[in-house]
Amino acid sequence: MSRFRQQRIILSLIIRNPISLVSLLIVACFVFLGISAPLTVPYPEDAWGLTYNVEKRFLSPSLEHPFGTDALGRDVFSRVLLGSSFSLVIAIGVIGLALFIGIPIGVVAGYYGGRIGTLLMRITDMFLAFPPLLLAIVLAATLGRGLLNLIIALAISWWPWYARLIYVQTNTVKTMPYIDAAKIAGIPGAKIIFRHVIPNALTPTLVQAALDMGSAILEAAGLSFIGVGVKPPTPEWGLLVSEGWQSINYAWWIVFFPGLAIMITVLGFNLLADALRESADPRLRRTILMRLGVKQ
Amino acid sequence: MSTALLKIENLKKYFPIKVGLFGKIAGYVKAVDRVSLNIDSREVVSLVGESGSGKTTIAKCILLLEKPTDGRMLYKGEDIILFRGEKLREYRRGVQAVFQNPFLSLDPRMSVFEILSEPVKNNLNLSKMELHEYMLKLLEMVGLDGSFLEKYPHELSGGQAQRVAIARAISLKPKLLILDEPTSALDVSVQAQILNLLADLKNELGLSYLLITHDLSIVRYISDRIIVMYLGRVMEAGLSEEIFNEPLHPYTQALFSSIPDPYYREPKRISLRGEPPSPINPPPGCRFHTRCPHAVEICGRKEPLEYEASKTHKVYCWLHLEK
Repeated sequence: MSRFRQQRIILSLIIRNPISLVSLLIVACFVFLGISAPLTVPYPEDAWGLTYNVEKRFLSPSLEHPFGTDALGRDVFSRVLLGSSFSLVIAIGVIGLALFIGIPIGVVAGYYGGRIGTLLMRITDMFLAFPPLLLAIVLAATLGRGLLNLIIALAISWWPWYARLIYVQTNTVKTMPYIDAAKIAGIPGAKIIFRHVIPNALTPTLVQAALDMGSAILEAAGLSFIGVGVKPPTPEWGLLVSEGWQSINYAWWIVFFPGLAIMITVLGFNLLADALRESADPRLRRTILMRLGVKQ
Repeated sequence: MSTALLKIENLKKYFPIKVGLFGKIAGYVKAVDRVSLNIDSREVVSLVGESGSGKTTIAKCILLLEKPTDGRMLYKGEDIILFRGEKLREYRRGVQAVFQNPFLSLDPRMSVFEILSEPVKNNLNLSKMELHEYMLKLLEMVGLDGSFLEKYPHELSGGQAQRVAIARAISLKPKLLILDEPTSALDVSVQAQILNLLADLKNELGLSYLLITHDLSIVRYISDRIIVMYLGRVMEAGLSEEIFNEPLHPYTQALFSSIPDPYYREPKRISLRGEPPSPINPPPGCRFHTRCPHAVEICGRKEPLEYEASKTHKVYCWLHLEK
């Protein structure tokens, strides 16, 4: 019951602030398009890259092809639209997998400390020692092109940040008297971790994860652009940009629209992450309410 | 003599100081050094001393949050370090605690209902209805009503939050409550209310208290016996009246002269100079001799022995032993 109320408060706070509202709409649109695109694209065969149509090459935007057509005469609008599905899968996949690896490692290392903690954090440091994009490129190139390999490569270069973040938070939370209070009530360690440590240590990591959704889309696009991401003819945004950049002088729309899609999506996620951070914390909440002139 | 509810013998807690890459031990912080005390059923024992004297470390050892370096702790005559399984659960139920800052001891993400029900669910078997009724009864016992069940800690005042913390502590029907500075984070007006509540609960439920504090005005009000600590050592121990009427140790005298007294116009203050020395390298002999106004030569050389002023009143000071 109370948890419901809390979510309602967060939602109402986001809606009240115009910038958060716009970001929420962008993200909602992105998610909606991502889910519905496979069913609604106007030219499904163009979108999936199953055909090509030489007579229709490099057509500029028109009513029939709102974003024009590409070098193989495929409808750019269809391809960009379906690209949102791929970006959605990549973003959720990368961040989800990275959290799934990072949170247990960070929490266990932070809560139990000692030798186990040191060992786990040194392993994390080893991953952190590589420049993340470089690590992702090497992994993606080694694993070979493909959607799943791209997600795995990015998640492996991503989890150490979450492990580190939640490790630090866990270290702070575990010294709190309410953890002692749970211990002296005889609550078992695993239960303390799930009921007290993780909920109280998670907020910064989740905000970071929400912020990173945009970056994950961006990095995946980057990897696809340089040719170690998904395989053509997959309509992934980064790949679309890389396919169109040679013809930018006479067919700007091939590069422009996927690029615009990346920009708006990343911006939406970043703004929403900011809004989430402010409203998810019950202590910050009161300040926001006051700023908005709402009586609680 | 019947067995004490809790008996501590020669408790030591040394924290190692690790330096360098490989954690070489460079020395020890002697937080608690050979402290003995016992608490009988329905008795209030106060542990008094300035910060850094090791009071809280003793509480943490009793609550099994820290492992003592040496010494024995007996609960109803049995060694608590050896408790496992059902025995440990019984001990946990029997000994609960109230901490200094209620806003730190209540999980900010849990409602009062969740906070109070967690220990109960974990230790007692109650149906949903019974649980709800028990929560209401607990709140009533600490002077709150059912409307608080839905609230979160940040919606409570300091006094209300401390009442919730007390309700949680008594929820498992303990025998002994460790009160670690239970009022020092609260407003003065609220302090009195919380103390009254604690005094009432003690009589109602037949509790024993180990009260840890530096606030001597509340010690006089509530305790049966007082133990005065300085730098991890006991300086003086005795019945409350004995220590208040006739403090024998110079440290106790200085400590007690700092209590503001509304009836004396000109307080005869004994002020100590300087800070307490570091517990890493405590002074040899009597730990207090560096700041003691009556120190003589032997104080810096040999640790004082026990002097029995009465059967219940003990002092560790050369001034009384020399006589």
